[in-house]
Amino acid sequence: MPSPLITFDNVSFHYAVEGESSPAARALSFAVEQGAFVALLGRNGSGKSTAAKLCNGLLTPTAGQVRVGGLDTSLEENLFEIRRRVGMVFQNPDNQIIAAIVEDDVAFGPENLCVAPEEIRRRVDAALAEVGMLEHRLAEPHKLSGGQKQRVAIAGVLAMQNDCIVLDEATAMLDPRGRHDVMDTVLRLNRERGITVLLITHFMEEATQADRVLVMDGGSLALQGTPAEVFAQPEALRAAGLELPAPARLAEALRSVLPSLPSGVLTEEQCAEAIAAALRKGAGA
Amino acid sequence: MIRDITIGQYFAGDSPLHRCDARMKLALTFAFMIVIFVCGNFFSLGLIALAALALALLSRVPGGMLLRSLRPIVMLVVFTSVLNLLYTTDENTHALLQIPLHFRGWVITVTREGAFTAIFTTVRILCLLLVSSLLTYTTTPSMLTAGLEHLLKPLAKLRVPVAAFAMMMTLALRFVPTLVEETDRIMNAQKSRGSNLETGSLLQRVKAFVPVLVPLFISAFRRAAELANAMESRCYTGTNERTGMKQLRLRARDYIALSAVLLLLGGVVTLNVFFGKIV
Repeated sequence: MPSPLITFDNVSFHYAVEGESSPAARALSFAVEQGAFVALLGRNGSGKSTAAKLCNGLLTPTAGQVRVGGLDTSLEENLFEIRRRVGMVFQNPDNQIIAAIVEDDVAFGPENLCVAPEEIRRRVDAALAEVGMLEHRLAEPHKLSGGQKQRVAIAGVLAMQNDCIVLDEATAMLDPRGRHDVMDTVLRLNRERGITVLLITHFMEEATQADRVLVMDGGSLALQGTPAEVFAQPEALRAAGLELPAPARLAEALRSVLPSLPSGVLTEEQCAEAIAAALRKGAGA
Repeated sequence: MIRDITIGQYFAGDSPLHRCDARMKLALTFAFMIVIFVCGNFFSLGLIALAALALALLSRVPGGMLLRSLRPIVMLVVFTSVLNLLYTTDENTHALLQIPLHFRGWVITVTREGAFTAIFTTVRILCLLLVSSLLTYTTTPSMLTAGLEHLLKPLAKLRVPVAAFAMMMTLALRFVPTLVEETDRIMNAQKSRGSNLETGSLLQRVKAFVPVLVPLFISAFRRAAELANAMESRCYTGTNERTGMKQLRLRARDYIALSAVLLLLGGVVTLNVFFGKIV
C-alpha cells in the first residue's frame, strides 16, 4: 500500500467575503497516494481550485487539516518544504512565467532552493528536455504558444525535483493540440518518473486517463472511484453539473438501438471496439 | 505586429562589447561619463570622441541604429548650442559676428568663445549618449538587471532591498510585452463597441482612453495576484538567500576593457595639464 503524499482530513475553507459566507470547501477528506494519478473534477465554483490552493499552503484550512508528507500546511515553518515537494501549474500560462527568457524561468525555482549554479544548469536542461522544450530554451515566453508556455511551467516545477505536480486547470486555456501535448507530458512523467499528479480539470476526457477520479460539487466530494466506476454513474455526474466523456455519451445514446453495448466505455478506442463488438453480435443474432 | 516588440534596444550580436561582463560594462560606462566631464580642452575632447567612435565600430551595431538613438537629443543639442552662442559674452571675448536687430538698438553678438563652447558641449553630449546607448545595445535587459544587482549588492548591508528591486525589474521587463498585448486587445474591444480613440481634440482622446486604462489596471492587479501565487508556489519568499544559474565572471577581456578606460582617463588628464583647460 503506497503511503499517502497529500491528505485532506475533514477540511473546510471559507473565503472571507463580507456578508455572505458560503464555504468553498466543506468537510473534504481524501488522500493522494505517492505515485498516483488523481483527477479532481467539478463544475465552475465547485471548489476545486480552492482544493488545489489548499494542497501547498497558498490557502490554509478554516477547519480540519491538510498534510503533505506528514507536514501540516497551516504551520508557516513547513511551507518551504511543502512547496519544494508539491509543485503547482496554474491556469493562465502568462501569469506564472517569471523571467523574460525560458531557461531563466525554469531556473527560478532551483535558485530559490539555493541549489549550486552548475547543478541548476544541469537540472534546467534536463527539465526542458523532459517536456520537449530544450530547443526553445533561449526563447522569450511571450512568443511561445499556450501549450508551450504550460510545458515551460511544468519544466519549472520539475527542475525543483518535487514529488508531486498539482495542475490547476492547466489545460483550460489551451487549444486541443496544446492540451494534448500537456496531457502527454503529464502522463509520461507519472508513468515513467513516478511523479504524483493531481489533475484538476473540467475536461472529462482528461480524467479518464487517471487512476482515480474525485468529483467535487458545492465544496464537498460528490463521487470518487476509478474512472470506470465514476463514469458508470451518469445521473450522479449530471447532478454535480458534469457530463460523461463524449465516447461514454455516444455509447449511452446508442444503447437504445444496440442494447448489448456495455457501460463504462471511456476512450474513443474502447468505444469503437464496443460498437464493433455489439454490431457483430447484432448481425450474428 | 505588436507581438514582435523587443524590450529595450538590445541589438543581438557577438562583438567583443557584447561578450564583456555586464558589471564591467556598467562600471566602465559610468567611468567613461566621468572622463567626458573631466576633459577640458579640444585635444582631450578629440581623444574622447575618437575613443567613443572606436567603441561604436567595435560593437558592430549598424550606424543607422546608433544615429536613431541620438535623434531624441537633437532638440537639446540645438537649444544648448544657441544659448551658448548667444550668451557667452564678457569683456574677454572676441566677437566673430554682429547682427544688429534695428530694434531698440539690440545687437546679436556671436563670440569666438561662444562658438567654441557650443561645439564643445555638443560633442560632449553626443559622446555621452553614444556611450550609454552602446551599453544598452550590447547588453540584454536581463543581464543589465543582473549586473546592477551585483554592483549594488554592498547597499544591501545598509538594508536597501537590492535583490527585491532586481526582482521587480525582472518582472517588469517580463510583463511589458504581455501588457502591451493586453492594451491592444482592450483597445480593439472598446473600438468594436464604438469608442473613438484616434480622432478628436487632445482632451477628447485622453478622455476616450480612460475606458482602456481602467480594465488594463484591473487585469494587471489580477495578474499580479496570480503571479504572486505562482512565485510563492516555487518557494520564493522575498527574504531568503537565492543562488543564480548564470554566474557573472570577469575574464581577460574585461580587464583589457578596464585598462583601456584607465588609459583613456590618463590620456585625458595629461592633455588637460599639457594644453591647459579652456572650458
